[in-house]
Amino acid sequence: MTSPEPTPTTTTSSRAAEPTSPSRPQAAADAAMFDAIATAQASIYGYGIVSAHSTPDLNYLVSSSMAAHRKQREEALAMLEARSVDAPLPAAGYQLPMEVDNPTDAANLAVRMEEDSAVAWRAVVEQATDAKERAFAVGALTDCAVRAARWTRVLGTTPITVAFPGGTE
Amino acid sequence: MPWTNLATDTKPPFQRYASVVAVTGKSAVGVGGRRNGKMLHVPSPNPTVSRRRVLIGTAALALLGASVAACGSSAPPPEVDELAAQLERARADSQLATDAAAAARGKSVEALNAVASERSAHAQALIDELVRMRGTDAPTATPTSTTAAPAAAPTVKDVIAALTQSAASATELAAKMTGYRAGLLGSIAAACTAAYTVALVPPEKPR
Repeated sequence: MTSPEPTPTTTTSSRAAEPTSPSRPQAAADAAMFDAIATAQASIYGYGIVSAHSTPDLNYLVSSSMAAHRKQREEALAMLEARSVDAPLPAAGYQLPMEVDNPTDAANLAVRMEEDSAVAWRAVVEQATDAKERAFAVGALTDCAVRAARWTRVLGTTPITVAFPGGTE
Repeated sequence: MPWTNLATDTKPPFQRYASVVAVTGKSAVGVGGRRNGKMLHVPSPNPTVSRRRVLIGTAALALLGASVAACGSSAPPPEVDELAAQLERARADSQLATDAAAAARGKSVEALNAVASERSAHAQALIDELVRMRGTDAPTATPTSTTAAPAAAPTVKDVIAALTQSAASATELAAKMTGYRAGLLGSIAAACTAAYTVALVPPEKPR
């Protein structure tokens, strides 16, 4: 995942996207939602880079992907706020997990971000104590899998889907 | 009581988060106590335990022991049936996609084969989870796929229809379950949805 600028090394963990303040909550359900929001914020930033390097015919996919991450982040923020838990702040900048210099790199970054987002949302599915939040996270996880498939199709690699989005089975 | 052991048997993400909470919870208390030097000299109250408390404690323990023992001998939880139904769906979808791939031509063959292998991977993961829930015995092999082969070979449309139903079913069950099982079903729902909305549909023309 794209990580906040101060982090010296690139890592695939969404945990690395932890901002300096506020700190990650202790309760597992809150912590998973916190991580998912941080991952969504990193993805929104990352799609700006994807947008800059994609060909114009993919504008529809870039804009719909970014809008979807924004929408999920807003809903997740509302859920944390309802529980009076502080949400992570977006970082001023994020270190990309890879060089992005051309449309192929851009699509690769998009796939990577959707995969990382799927991991974050699956954690929310597993940790959620509220059925409504769990259902929301299942929907978010599903959306990530669909977008990952669309971006993988752009890359031209097959198969374009994976058996366990966000999972390690 | 095979299925009660599941708490210790869940996959790493669950344990990781749980352990983080446990560790940080303890350390926060420790740091808070040590930071104020004066507090060290405050004598702690004697750990007196009344007879009544001991009695209540032992009664509660006995009750717990009884209920745990009862759990061990009781029927498997309802989740077993619901996961077994998901396993049936996964097996049926895999077979359907395989049959459709055999009859299909062109690019859809590859996509259908991918669906078949993903749905059989789902079946395996569900079998693994059912084995964990029920103890050592493997789920009974169900001979449903051998009944009356369809007259006409299934098409991509049939597979899309089946996956749409399977996705909806897994989505609904994922919200009802908790922990690893919810996560597994969430991933299965996501995979089915990605397959029927993207993989099995021709690329959409950019607007």
